[in-house]
Amino acid sequence: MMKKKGVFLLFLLAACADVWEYSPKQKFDRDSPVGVNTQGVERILSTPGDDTVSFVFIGDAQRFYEEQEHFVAKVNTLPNLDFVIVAGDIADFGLLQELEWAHSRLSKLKVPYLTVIGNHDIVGTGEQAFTRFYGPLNYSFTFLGYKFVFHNTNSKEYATAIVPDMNWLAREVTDPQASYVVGVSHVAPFDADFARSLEMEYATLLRNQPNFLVSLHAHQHRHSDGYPYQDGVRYVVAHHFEAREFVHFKLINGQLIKTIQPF
Amino acid sequence: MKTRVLLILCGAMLGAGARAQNRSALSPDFYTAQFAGSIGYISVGAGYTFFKNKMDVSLHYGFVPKRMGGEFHIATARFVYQPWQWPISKRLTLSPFNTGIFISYHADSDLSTSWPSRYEDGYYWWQTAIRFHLLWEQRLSFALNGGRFSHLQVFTQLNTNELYAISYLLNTGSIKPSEFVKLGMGVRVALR
Repeated sequence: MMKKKGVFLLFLLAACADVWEYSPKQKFDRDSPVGVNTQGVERILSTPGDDTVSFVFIGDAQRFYEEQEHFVAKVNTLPNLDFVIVAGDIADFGLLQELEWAHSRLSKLKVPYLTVIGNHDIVGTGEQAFTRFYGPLNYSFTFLGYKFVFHNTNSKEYATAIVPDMNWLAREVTDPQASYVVGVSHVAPFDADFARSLEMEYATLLRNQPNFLVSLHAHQHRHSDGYPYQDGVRYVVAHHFEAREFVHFKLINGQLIKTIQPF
Repeated sequence: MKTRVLLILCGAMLGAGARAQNRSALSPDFYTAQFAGSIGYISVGAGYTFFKNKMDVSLHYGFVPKRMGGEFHIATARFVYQPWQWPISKRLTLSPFNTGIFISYHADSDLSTSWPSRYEDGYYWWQTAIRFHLLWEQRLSFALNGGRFSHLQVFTQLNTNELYAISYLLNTGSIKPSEFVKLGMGVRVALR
């Protein structure tokens, strides 16, 4: 009898494939999704849309799982929302398990959520896990004329100044097809963790695009909104999850309407 | 390089035992082969028992192939305490409450026990190559007649590591045990 119970319990455990871990550093497992961002973009582009692009903007989800649940509950009450942006640091320790914990909560959002890689997502084998899980680290899409350019700006994680990829970025933000451009990345150019040798090149690139609307970042765990280079380019740094506030943006006719919501 | 040192170490350890026909003081008291359990897709190990079989100390080499989320080579040192054994029949004993710790080291160029000098002290407070795990093991032991081996055992082992545990402790209202407790199973042969 005892043995039968034991065998039954083993079968029950074995049924959850996720529990058979080979290594905490695993780059993927049998259950981990592939290309969550890529699928999210496809979903967004398959909706007809209206005259407004409405999205929620937040960052630094790392280790704040309870807050993620509250966030999802609140965001799901917003009408006519198109998508959510989580601007990096989904994981804290660069572990696949952390991406899975976050995804099992954030995938309960009614709208797609899109991420951009943060420095904590890169550490160890994190970059490889993140790339398979979410998709390419630099990607873009154009929805209702607004081009969103997601890119890796975590310069400090690389021994040489190879990030951000300025050539890729220059091609993306100068797209003649886009009416307006929005930049999304984790580390802002004015942050100490951004490559100093690329800061002015980056700021100049954005300044020279007349249709560039706003540059969105996270990493600092403190919301800010302003014109740090006094050159007409607006930079907004997201709230982190622990602050239990997020920014809700609406884009109408090239105008940016911003509200801050608690959750 | 790291991987080669690790392989030589583990090979030497396993070899020392395998060669010994008459058990010398150095030859291991038991060998293990394991599936999953956070120390490799497949791992093999050897170790010693102390304090009348109440304590195991063992070293393991584990491998995760690329198509299983690797590739990784992992060295593990494991300490298991077996507080009591429950006789089920003449030959069969169950010890469902074994507890212990293990320390795993990943030999990988992306992982390290320290951070490069471009980071200020404490920028990241943990390191990526070594993990500390807690384990809870259930072991079923079958006594063998004669031969080199005294017992054939099967075990299941639940574990979590310190980074999962921290994530859980900060989110007890959200993360469920099934989300941070990982499983492995294996066989263990004890030498006479």
